[in-house]
Amino acid sequence: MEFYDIVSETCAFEPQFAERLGFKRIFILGKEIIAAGSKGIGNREVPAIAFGRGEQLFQLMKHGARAVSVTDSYIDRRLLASMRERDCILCMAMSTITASYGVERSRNIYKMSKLFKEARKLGIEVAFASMAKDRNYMNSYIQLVELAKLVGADEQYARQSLNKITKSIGEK
Amino acid sequence: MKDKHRYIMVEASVPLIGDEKEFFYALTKEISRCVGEANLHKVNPKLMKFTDSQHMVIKSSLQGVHDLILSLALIKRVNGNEMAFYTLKSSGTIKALEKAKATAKE
Repeated sequence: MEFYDIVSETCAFEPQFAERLGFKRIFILGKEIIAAGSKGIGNREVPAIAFGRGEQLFQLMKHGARAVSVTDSYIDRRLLASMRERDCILCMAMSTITASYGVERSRNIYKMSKLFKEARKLGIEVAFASMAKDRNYMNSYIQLVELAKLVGADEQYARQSLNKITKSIGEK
Repeated sequence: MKDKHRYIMVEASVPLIGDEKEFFYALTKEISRCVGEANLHKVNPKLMKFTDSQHMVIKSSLQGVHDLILSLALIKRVNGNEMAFYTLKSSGTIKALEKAKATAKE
């Protein structure tokens, strides 16, 4: 099985490093995958991943975003229902867990596991990606599988999600 | 009954200079923080060897290997120094790990 990951634009790494981590390819947000966030859709391209929360995500979904990353992990049932209608994928940024510490990390794990459970209950596909802002927050595919298990996915689901992430989001 | 174990090849984000034992003691303290003191015995981490300044082989019990991999993903600081650890491969023998590392280098 081949694995893929997505990292932030600010994250620098060499292709051999991605290979060592067990990924066939690591995609860079903003360069290889079109992302839209709080600043909206600047260049009017259809975003692959929309970052944000609440009403902002509804707007980005209307513009055709294929995946949604809820930055505060808040469970908005209206948003989840709309995601299901549009076959939109929930993208979970694992750096939310790795970049936080102590009680904050614990709270993030709790919120993300609740969101994962709710999304799966509604039949929404969930994708896991590190979304690392720098090299220190990148993970090998083995570690990403364990992090996915931490938020409630089983091993098979986590592996499949890392395998088809770019297919579902739509690589450029 | 003999306990089953696994070996994992770990890469550190920065070269590790200084006392290896002291470093591993600090790393074990961080692992204990992640898995909890009560679960540390399940993981039973042991530093087997450093293959170079950035790569090491860690032994763990079979039942605790998932906890070890997870805690290595969560550790971002050891002895006050910012660093990350990447689990490259897990295997039942050290020989298989070293073989995989050699193949990756080629």
